[in-house]
Amino acid sequence: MDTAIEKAPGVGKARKRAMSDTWYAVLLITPASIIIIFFALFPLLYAIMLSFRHVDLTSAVGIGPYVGLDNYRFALNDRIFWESTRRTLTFAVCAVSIEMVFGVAIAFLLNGLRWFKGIVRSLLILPIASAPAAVGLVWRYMYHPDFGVYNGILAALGLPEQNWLGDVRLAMPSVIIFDIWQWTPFVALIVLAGLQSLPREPFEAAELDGASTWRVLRRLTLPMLAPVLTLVFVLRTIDAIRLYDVILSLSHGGPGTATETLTYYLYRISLKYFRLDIGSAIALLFLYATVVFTAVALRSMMRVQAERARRA
Amino acid sequence: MFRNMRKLVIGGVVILALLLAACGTPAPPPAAETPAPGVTPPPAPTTAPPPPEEVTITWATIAGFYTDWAEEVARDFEAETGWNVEVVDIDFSQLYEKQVIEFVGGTGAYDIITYDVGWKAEFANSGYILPLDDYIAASDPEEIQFEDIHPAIVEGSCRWKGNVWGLPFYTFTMGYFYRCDLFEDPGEMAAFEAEYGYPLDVPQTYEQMADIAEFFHRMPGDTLKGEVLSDEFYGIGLMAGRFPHVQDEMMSIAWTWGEKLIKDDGTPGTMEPRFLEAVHLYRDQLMPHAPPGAATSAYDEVVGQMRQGMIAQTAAFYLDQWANMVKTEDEVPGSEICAATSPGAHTWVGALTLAINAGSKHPDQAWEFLKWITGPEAQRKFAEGGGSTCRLSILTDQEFLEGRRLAVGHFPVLNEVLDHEAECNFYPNYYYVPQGGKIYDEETTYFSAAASGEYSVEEAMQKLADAIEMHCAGPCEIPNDHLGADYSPVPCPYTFDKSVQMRK
Repeated sequence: MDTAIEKAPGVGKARKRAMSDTWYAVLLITPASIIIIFFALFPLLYAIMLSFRHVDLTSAVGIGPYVGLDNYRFALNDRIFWESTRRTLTFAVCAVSIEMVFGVAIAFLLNGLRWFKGIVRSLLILPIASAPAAVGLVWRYMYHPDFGVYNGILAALGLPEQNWLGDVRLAMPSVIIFDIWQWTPFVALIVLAGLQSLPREPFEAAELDGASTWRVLRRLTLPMLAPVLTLVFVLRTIDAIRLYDVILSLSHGGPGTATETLTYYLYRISLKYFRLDIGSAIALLFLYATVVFTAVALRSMMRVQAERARRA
Repeated sequence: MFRNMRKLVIGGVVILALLLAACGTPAPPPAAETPAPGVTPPPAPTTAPPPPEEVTITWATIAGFYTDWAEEVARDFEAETGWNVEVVDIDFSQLYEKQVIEFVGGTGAYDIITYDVGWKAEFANSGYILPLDDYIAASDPEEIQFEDIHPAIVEGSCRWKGNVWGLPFYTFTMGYFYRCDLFEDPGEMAAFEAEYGYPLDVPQTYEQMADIAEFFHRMPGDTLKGEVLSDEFYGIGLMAGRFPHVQDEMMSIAWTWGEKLIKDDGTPGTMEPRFLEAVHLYRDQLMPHAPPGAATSAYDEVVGQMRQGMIAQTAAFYLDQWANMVKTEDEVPGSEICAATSPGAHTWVGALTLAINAGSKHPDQAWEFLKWITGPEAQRKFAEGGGSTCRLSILTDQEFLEGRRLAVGHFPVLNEVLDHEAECNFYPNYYYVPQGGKIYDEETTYFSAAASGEYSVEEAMQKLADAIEMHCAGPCEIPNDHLGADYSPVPCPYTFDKSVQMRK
C-alpha cells in the first residue's frame, strides 16, 4: 500500500516541494536571525551573565566572581532605582494617555477632512521624523526662561513666565509636553490607517437604522478599532518607558533628579560608574517588566484574533 | 498560548517574591579592591620611530574653541614630523566616559587623552595612562621647560603618588567677573555704602558677594546707573544646572571656608555644619538674585547673561572664558568687564591635562606631540589667541600682555590665584582620591538638587555623603603623603589687589 502511495503520481513531487519551501523559508529569515543573534540575543545572554557577577570595569576587579543574586538584591533595595522607576511610570502614564486621546481625536478629524488631507498627513510626520536628541536641544532653548520663545509668547499675552526646565514641579510636565508634541502624530496616523480600513457596511446599516453618532462611535467604531488602539498603546508605552535621548538633550535628568528616568539612571550606573553588574540586573528587571506588560496588554487582542481565526 | 503566558507571569512573580524575601538587609557594597599595582614606567625610548607615513596620533580632547586652535596648530606639527594628527573633540559632559570606555575595552583608539583634575588619580591608579617621568628625563629640557609650568598646576593636575602623569594643555582655574562700570558708578557706590555700611568693591568674602547680588537685583522701573530699567536686572549669574559647573561654584565657597568634600580621614565632609552653611548661602542668598534660568544653566548661559546685560557679576567662574566675557563691552553700551579672584581665592585650580594612553600603539610618537603642544612655543601661540596657558613665562610676560587685554586680560588675575594656591600649599583631598571621577558626577547630581530645591540642603548633602561612601566602599584613600605626613589643606587669608587688573 505504501508502495502504491509512493508510486501515486504527484506525491513525491509534493514532498520535494514541501522540503524546498522549508529550506527556502529558513534561507529568507537567516540574515535577520544572524542580526538578532549578534545584536540582541548574545548581548542579552551576556547581560544575564554579568548580572550574576561582581563587575566594576574601572577597578582591578574588572569582571569578577559570581555573587549570586546580590546585584538584584542591591537593585531592589536601591532608593534611586525606585525613584527613577516612579518618575518613568509617571511620565509614561501621563504622556501616553494624553497622546492616545489627542491622537484618536486628530485621526477622526483627519478622516473627515475633504481637502488637503495629504498635506496635513505629511506635516504630521515631521515631528516623528526628527531626531529626538536634536529636537530636544532645540526645545531646551525654546523652554529657556531668559531667552526662550515660550516665555516670549507668555509675556506677549500678559501671562506670567515660567521656569520650564528649572522648576522641579514643571520640569517633568515640560518633558511630557515635548513627548506629546513629538508622538501624538504617530498615534494619529496609525489610528487613521485603522479608521480607513474599517468596512463601510456596518456604518451604512447603522445610519439606516438611525443610530446617533455617539452610539455608532461607542458600539461600532471603537470596538472595531480596539486591536489598532491596543497595538499603538503598547508600542507607545514601550517607547515611553525607554525614554533616554530626550532627557539627555532636554534636561540631563535635572534639575537635581527631577527628570531622571530609569534608563537615564541605567546610563549613569553603567557608563559613568561602569558598574555593569548592577546595570545589567536593573536592565533585566526592566526587560522582564516590559515583557509582562506587553503580554498582559496584548492578551485580549490576541484572544479576539484567535477567535476570529477559529471562526474563519 | 495563554496558559503559557500565565505560567510566565506567575513564574516571574514567584521569582520576584523570592528576591524580595531574600532582600532583608541589603548586601553591603563590595569591598574596595586594592588599587591596581603601580605601572612600571617604560624605559626611555631608544628605538627608531616608524616611517612617518605609518603614524597617526589620535588625540581625544574637549570640544570648544581650544580644539579649533589645536587642530590649526597640529598642522604645524604634521608639517614638521610628517606624522598625522587626528583631533577628536568630545563635549566635556561625555569626555570622561568616552575615554574610559576605550580604556577598559583596551582599544587603543586614543593615543593622547585629556583628563580633568578630578580624574587624574583614577586614571593613574587604574593604569590607564603612562607616567611621564622617564619621557621627561630623556627629552631636551628646553623642549619641555617643566619648571615653567606653574607649580600649583603641576601639583594639582600633573602629579600623583610622586610621578608626573600629564602635562597641562590649558587651565580653567576659576576667578570672578563683574561689571566694573556698575561697581564704580558714584550713585551706585553711595547707595550701596548707605545700605550695607561698607564700600562697594570686589567682594573679599562670599557674604559680601551675597550683599552685592541683593543690591544689584532690580525690577523693571528701578534705575541702574541712573537709567530706568525696562527688564529685570539680576545681581548674579550662577551655573546651577545639572552640569559639572555647579559643584565648582559651591566647592569654591566651601573650600574658602575651610571645609572639605572629603575630610583628612577619608570620610565625606558634606554634613559638617559649615559645609551645609556654604550650600545654604549659595541656595538661599545667591540663587534668589540669579536669573530663573540659573537652575538649568551651564557656563555658556552665564556668559550669555552677562553679554545681554542681565547680570552684575558671576560667582566663582572660569577665567578662561575672559575672551568671551569681555565681548560684553561691545554689546552693552557703557559696560566694562573686570576680572578678579573669587573671594578668598580658594577655588578650582587645575588644568585640562594631556596624558599618554597606556594602550597606545604609538606611545613614543604620542609623547613627541604631547610635549610639542604643551611646550612653550605652541602655548605662546595658544595664548595669543586667548588660550589660558599654565606657563609662567607667558603669564607674567608684561610685554606679551601689553595691548592684548581682549585676549589675555585675565592673565594677571590667573597668576594671582595660582600663586596663592602654591604659596598656601592648598591642594584639596579630592584631587588625590582614585574614585574622583565618579564622585564628580555625584556632586553634579546632588548640588544641582540642593540648588533647585528638589531636596533640602541637608537631604541633598546626606545623599552625596552616602554616594561618596558607596564609591569609596568606606573611607576614601587619599594618597597625598608627599605633601607631608599630617598634611591638611587649610585656606590662607587673602585680599585681592585690584592693581593687577588690566583695565579698558
